[in-house]
Amino acid sequence: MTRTVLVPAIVVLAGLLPVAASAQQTLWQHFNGDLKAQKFSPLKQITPENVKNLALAWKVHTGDVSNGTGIARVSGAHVGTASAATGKTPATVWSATPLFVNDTVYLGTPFYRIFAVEPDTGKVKWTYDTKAKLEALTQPDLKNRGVAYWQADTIAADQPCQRRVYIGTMDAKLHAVDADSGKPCADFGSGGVVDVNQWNTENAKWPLSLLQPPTVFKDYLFVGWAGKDWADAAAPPGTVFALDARTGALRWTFESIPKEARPKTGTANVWASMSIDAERNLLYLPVSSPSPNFYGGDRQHPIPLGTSVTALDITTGKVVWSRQLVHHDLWDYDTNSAATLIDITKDGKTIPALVQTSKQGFIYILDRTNGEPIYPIEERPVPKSSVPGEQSAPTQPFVALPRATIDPEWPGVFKLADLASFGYCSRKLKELAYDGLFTPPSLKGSLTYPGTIGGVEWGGGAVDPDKQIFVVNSTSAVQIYQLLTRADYAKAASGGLETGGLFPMEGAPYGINLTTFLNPIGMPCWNPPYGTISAYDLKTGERLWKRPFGQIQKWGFYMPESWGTVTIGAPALTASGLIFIGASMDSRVRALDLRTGEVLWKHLVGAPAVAMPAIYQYKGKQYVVFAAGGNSILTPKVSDEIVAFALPD
Amino acid sequence: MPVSGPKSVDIGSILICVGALVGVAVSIANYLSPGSGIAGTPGAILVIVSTIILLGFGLIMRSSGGSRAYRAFVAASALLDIVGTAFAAYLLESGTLVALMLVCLVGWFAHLFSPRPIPA
Repeated sequence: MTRTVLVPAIVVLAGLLPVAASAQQTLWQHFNGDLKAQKFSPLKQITPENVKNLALAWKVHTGDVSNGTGIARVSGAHVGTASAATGKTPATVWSATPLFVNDTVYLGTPFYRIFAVEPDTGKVKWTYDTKAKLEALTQPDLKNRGVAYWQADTIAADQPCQRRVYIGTMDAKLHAVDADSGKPCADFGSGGVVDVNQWNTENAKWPLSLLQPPTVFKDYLFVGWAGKDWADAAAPPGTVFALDARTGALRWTFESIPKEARPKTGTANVWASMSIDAERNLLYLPVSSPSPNFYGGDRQHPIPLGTSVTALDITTGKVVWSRQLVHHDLWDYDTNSAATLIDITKDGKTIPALVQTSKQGFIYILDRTNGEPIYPIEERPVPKSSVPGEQSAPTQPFVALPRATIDPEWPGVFKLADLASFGYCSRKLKELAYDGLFTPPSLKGSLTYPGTIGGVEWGGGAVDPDKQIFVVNSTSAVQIYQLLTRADYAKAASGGLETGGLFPMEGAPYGINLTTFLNPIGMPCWNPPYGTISAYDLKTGERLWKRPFGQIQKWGFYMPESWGTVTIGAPALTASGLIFIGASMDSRVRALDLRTGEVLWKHLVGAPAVAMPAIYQYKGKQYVVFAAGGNSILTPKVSDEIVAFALPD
Repeated sequence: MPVSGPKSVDIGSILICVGALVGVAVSIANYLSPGSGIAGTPGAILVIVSTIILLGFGLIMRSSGGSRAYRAFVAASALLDIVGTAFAAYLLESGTLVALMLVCLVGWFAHLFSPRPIPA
């Protein structure tokens, strides 16, 4: 090539590259927006100044909703096949992040159907029905957190399944369909379905429920799973499966539990989403706690990968590094969200970092190449267990900087709740064991703060990579963990809800009575706020602001904003300085000012939007889309609503 | 011989009746509308009931019958109803109902200072 040709070519290419990059970034292709789990959009059309004008662009009701007693009453036209909800259909929990890619919005539903929707009108292009049984095999409710998308590096013309959408089911089936037509991809597994349960061979009492969509990178699908919590001491070990995106063939597996420990334990699984450093070929796993969750006397064998953040080599599945966040976990403090990857500028140096949130409220900021702390993590002595047979860890890791999303000390008795219950809260408190964070479960009952719902839940946080500001919502909930001997457990009624009740931990010497610390009329016995949202400067570790978030609604009455609410879901950020988030129990979605946390806009939707939103641009217009489905942890209210907002023309 | 004057109009009780009547309609609409945020809730039922009762109080206050004690009881109950409904509406974030209760409150004060028929 001559110099005269080469120079203009370079100029043209240089001009095109930013355009291509920009187009790429207007997508919302993965569960967390991108594989770094940043939940960040570079779009700037909607700004703090004009967000007050944001209006409903379109809305779709999928029809896939149940309140547990038959179909819930919802407004609007349902689409697709008629809902199969009956009086026996479990309630639905819908936490699907919408994906925007291939000029289409894709969603999974808690009835395990896929919806492909036009991004500007909400018109349904196609639906796909897995025909999964609507049975809550491992969960209290029917759950889905959406779908995953893959496309071939080189698209072969007139060939089907060059672009694919994947959805998992409660009974461990992974379906692959053509992203353009919704037809099954015949070359994937058997007729478009891989039965992941074929690899469930140890302690296989329950299926490996595929509620979280796979993480997709190149031609890999990384598949974690959810089990049946708190039911059994021995459970399937926390295997992560790497599958071929085209064929569904097993490429490699990762095991979190040493083989010799498995007869009496299990899980330490990855039930949340994952993140990927493409440049370093690393996959980051949030590894949960081993079973039985609240008693570890029979699992004294070291499980160093339990309750950890672990980095794997993508090609081989081998562990590159791992950092345990809770030793010998007795609190169900699962590492429960994808680590957010960002390059931090600290003391003049650029550090490839990883930000891992946690149920404890700690924000671990690590060097993602080796797992070493960027801000100090200290091992501190913690209370010893008084339970016969238990040997709790003598120390636990504490993060001094950044400050935790919640104070490590419990918030104290809420006088209003105490007064309204004639001193019940104070009296109950005196009966409980409490020696601060990491007080182990006990036979008399331990006040546990935070409890199993956190802290920070599975949504994790979001980051503005340019400003290096990290935003995260968090819950402040106090629970009581009481171990019951087998004899005492047998006396008590069995069953329970996800957030509380009696759970057997069959095979362990104890069952657990797990309750939220409420007074007899249902008021929290601890001081508000019950939920907050915070922003951190990652360059210094300083917290920039912290505000109560959301509003409790009881019998229709809204409680003061200063109380906040338990939050499930996560924020998404835009380059214009906005935070979009649902997550609150009052069924509102909000836009906040990144600088201050001030609420600039809010809108009522059909049920709490417990998924993170998708933010994308299509035909020059910016959209923010939420799935508003509800979660029984917040409120029984459910919906089947996909709702999109945009600025008026 | 009784003294008779021009018949006075009790604007106050009319305001209470109108405010309560519209309040009933707004409360029912809130109960039925999914977009209200309080559809189907016990709180929405509560203000439907309280505004219906307030309407009853307003109609009773329109009539001039009954003893002074009875009229005082009705007026005091109406005030409690107005304040209670306004507080409930505030917590339900129904600004319209709060505004209507303010109208009723104005009506209540107007009723309090309205001229009474001079007894024979």
